[in-house]
Amino acid sequence: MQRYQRKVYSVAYGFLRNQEDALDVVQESFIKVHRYLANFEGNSSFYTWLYRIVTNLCIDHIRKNRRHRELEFDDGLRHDGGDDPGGIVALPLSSMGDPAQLLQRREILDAVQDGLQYLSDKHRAVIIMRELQGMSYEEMAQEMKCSKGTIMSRLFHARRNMQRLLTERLGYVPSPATDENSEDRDAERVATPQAVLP
Amino acid sequence: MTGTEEQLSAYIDGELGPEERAEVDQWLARDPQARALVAEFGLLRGAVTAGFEAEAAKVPEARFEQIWDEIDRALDRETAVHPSTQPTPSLWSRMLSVLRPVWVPVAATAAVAAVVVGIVGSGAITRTNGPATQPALASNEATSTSSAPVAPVLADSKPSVEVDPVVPAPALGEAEIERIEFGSKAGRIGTIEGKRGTTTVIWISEDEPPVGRSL
Repeated sequence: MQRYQRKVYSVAYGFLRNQEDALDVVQESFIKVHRYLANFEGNSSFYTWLYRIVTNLCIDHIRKNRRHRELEFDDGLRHDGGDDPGGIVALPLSSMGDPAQLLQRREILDAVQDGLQYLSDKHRAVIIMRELQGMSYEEMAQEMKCSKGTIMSRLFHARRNMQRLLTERLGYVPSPATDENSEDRDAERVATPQAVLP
Repeated sequence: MTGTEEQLSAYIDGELGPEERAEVDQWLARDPQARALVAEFGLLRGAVTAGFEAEAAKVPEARFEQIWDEIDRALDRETAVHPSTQPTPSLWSRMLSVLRPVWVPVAATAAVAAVVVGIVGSGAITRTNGPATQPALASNEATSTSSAPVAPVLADSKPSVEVDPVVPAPALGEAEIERIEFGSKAGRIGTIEGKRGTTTVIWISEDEPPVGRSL
C-alpha cells in the first residue's frame, strides 16, 4: 500500500493545496481502504477505487471548509472560460525549449502548482482526474454527474486556463480572447463520498 | 474540415471515436497552429504530472511513516471499540471441535463403564441363588432381538465388548439381578431402575448356553 502513498498525496494536494490537509486525507484514505477492503468488488482496478476514495474525501473536505475558502467547489466561474482566449494562441511552454528539460525546471513546476491554485475547483478536479488519476471521460462524467461533452469542454477550458496562468507567471503575454464559452458554467456537483463508498 | 479546439484536447486524451479522430488527423495535417496546440497541451500535461510528482517529493519519507503509524493506531482503536461481530469461540468449543471425531465413542464407552462400575461398586446388586455364578457375557442373540438397551456387558468383570456409542448411558439407580425363563431359555438378567422412571435390562447369562455359541 505504501507504494501508492505519494500518488495519493499528489491527488490530495492537487485538490486541497495544503500539505497537512493533504496528508490528513492520505491517512483517512488508507484507513477507509482497510475498513472497506472486504467490500471492494473488483469492478474497477484497486488503483481506480483508491483514487475515488481520495477524490471524494478531498471534495468532502473542500465542502466542509468552504466557508474558509475563497472559492467554493461548485463556484467554478473564476476561470471557467468566460474570459478564455479563443482561437489558437501563442504557445508559452513549447516555445521555452526542449520539452524534456523543460519539465525538470523548477520554475516551471512551481508555476504549475501556482497555476493550479488559481484554477476553479471544477477545473482543478478534471485536471487531477485526467492527468494524475488517468480517468477516462466516461469515468469523470460519472464522478462529476455530468455528460461526457461537459467533461470534454471542461477539460479543454481547464487546460486553456492553465496555459494562460502559466504564461502570466512565466512572463509571456497571452493571446486576446475572441469568443466565449458558456457550456462549462453549469453547477453540477461531484458525486458525494457516500455515493462511492459502501 | 476544421474541428473544434475541444476536439484537439480530447484528441490527445484518445477520447475521440474513429471518425472524429480521422477528421482531426486531416485538420492537423494542414494546420500548423493546430499541431502546435496539440503539442502544447501534451507538454502542459507532462508539466502538470511532473509538478505533482515534484510536490509529492517534498514530503519526507519520515512524514509518511508517521502517517502509517497513525493509521495503525486508528485501526487498532477501531478494533478495540468495534470487536468482530463473530464471537471468539471459547476454549471449550475449540477443544470440542478438535476432539469431536474421538470424544463421542470415548464418552459412550466411558458411560457404559460407569454403569458397570456403579453397579458393581455400589453394592446395590442383589444376587439370586442361581446355579451360574461365573460372570458371563450376554448373548448376541439377546442383544439383537431385544428392543431394550441391552448392550452386552460383562457383569462382574471389565467390559471387553463393543458398545453402541449412540445408546445413552442410563441414569444410575439400584440394580438387581434375577433369574428368568424366557421361552425355552433361562438365565440371569440385571435390571437397573433409572432416575427418570426408566428401566434398563441387561441380559447377563444363560443357564445352559447352546452348543456352538461363543461367549
